Amino acid sequence: MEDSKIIALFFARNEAAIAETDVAYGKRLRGLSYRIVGSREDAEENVNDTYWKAWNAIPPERPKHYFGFLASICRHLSLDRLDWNNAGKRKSEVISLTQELEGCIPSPESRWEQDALGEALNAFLHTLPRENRVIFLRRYWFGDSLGEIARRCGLRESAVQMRLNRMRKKLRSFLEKEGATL
Amino acid sequence: MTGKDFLMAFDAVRQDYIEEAEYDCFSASKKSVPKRTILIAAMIGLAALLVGCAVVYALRMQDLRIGQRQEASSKFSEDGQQYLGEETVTQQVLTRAGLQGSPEYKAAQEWFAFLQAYDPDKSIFESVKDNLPVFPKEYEGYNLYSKEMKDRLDEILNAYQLMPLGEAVPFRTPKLLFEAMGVSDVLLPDSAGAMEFLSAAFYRSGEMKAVGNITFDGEKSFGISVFYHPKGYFSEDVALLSNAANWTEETLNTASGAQVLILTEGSGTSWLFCDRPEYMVSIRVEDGDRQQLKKLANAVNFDLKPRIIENAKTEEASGGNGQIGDYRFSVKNVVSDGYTAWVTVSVTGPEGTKLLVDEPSKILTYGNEVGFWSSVTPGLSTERYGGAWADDGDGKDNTAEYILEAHSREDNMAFGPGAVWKLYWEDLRLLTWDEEAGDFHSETLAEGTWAADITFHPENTGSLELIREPVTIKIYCGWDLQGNRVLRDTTLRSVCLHPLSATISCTDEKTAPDFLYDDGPTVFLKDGSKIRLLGVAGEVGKQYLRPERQIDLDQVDYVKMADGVRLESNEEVEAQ
Repeated sequence: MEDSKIIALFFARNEAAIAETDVAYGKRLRGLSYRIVGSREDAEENVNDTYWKAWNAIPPERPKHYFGFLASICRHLSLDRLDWNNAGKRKSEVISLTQELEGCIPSPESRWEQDALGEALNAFLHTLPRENRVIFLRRYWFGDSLGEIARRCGLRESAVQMRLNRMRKKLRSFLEKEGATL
Repeated sequence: MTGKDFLMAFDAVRQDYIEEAEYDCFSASKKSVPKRTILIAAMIGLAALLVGCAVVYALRMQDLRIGQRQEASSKFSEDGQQYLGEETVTQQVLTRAGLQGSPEYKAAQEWFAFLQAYDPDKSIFESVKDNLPVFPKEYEGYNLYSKEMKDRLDEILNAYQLMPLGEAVPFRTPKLLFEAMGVSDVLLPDSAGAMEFLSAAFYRSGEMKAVGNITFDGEKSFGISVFYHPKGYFSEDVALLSNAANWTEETLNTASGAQVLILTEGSGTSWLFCDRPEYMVSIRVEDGDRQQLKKLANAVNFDLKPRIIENAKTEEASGGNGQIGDYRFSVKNVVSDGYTAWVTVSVTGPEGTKLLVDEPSKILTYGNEVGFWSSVTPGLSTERYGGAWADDGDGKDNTAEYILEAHSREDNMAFGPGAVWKLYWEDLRLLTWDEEAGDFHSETLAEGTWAADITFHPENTGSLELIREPVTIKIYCGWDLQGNRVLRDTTLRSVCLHPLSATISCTDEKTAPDFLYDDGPTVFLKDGSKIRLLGVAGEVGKQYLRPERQIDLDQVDYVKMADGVRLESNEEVEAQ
């Protein structure tokens, strides 16, 4: 079923909206959550909760990018529910992501609010060529491995690694120009 | 700002960028466009032109049609933006029991006509639904809820000299059912397909239903449900086709000599039918394209005659230590607070293997999720279970722990003193996320089942209630388009802690509340350390949670809710 019809079902408070959402995007959302939490059961729980949040949000909201809307919720829930203390022990990829991004994380002294940082990230992403933006988001938003990104984009892993290195440096200097202390 | 905060700030990334990153660079698996369908009228016209040319009889949809029915369906405006309510659509009803003229067909037609007229407003069903009448076990295969229905069914069975399906024979897993039948699955031995079954049912008559996913040559998997209906018995199963004009039919003669009718609407559900001397076989297919339907028709063993060999086992024997292939399993530790159980399983792989998989797209896991836990003590049930791998700290790559967690409700102390559960571990598999297929690819590393009986002896089933008078807090109830969360007030009724679990109740009577956001709720201990509560499940007015680690209830100082409200612990722990 098309996105517009699914959203129309939400507006009509018709529970078929949930089932149709699962048919259309369930697998993608499970994959996204799974990459973060590393557990099929937890991923399943996060996806169910994503549907629940969507049910509460629509209406009044009518998302223009429905998958993006769902994926944002699902990623947030997955990061929020990740057992961060044991993530390293359980070999979560999220820990590698935070390590990679270490040089770009504003220090506590810079007092950046998450909202302001979010705006800055969007501005930064806008400066990137489309392909690089996809690579950056596949790594740091979706949590893909370098190999997965390489396969997806038809590049060598070393090329992906090199581009990510350059983009992280660019992000660092972009955030510094925006006033962040790193 | 922590690494977690930084990753969380990515929440604000524009949703169109997220879709761009999801769908770009692999255009092959972008959202599928509905396929153009050929009008069935055109097919009928073509069939008419061919009349007289064909000398071989072809199985047709018409051979199975026993009537039509009205069904409510969602209706949308032309642009798809507006839901316009429900509309009545006509569905063609096909029997899956036998071809036109056969006793099975005639019985199905009469039974369908009876059901159409019987209890149209469902008032009879509503009056008995909480206390359904019990009929002899040979009628287990039918949805009967009144004596009138059973009497009419008996009349039809007598009129066409058919027998009822017989009682269901329970098998713990589909794999055990196939073992009991002496086959590996429903595919021909040399077929290119690989099946993974999720559930299966078998009746004394030989009626068999199996549901699962099939994959051909590494392509994207698709769901199928396979039904073997024995001749001489009555099956009430039907196929319902909405928008009949959009369905196309095609007859395929397979390499194994079966004639298969393929009915497809172009997207969504398709059906395959095959009439054999002793069985009518029907297959429901979810999201398979035309090529996949043909591959499926050539792969299925339509001559399979489901029969159970004598003394077949329906579940596995238990053993404390066990082995699946070259992997050894044992229960290392069992902890319970009565409501939640943590069971640590030690797993040892062959020398040279690495159990904790580093790649984020891979996961080592068990095979069959259904029936992982099974209560030996009657009347106990789990609400949810899960688990995760953890390093066992011995420095060896080929050993690790799997920590299983199971939760029950407050009103069903499933893991209390003396409760016995059977734990199953079936197969060891490596799942790899296949980006293009949008699904996991499963590779079986070791095949077999390990089962262990576990008796619970919880040391502490105490509880600590932190609400003595109504407290108003803010709960999480959704998102807006900008990703901002929406909070609203609710009144807490109970915040009850156990060593391994917690339940928070509020006065909401219509929604399942969500108390989880930011860092809350968090348990603060008297020594200043804290334990975060994580989500497990929810229901109307209630949320079930689990602590990151075991809580010593005597050491609880207070619980801080997500909005900062502190609930002090100044009462004694209630021992149970």
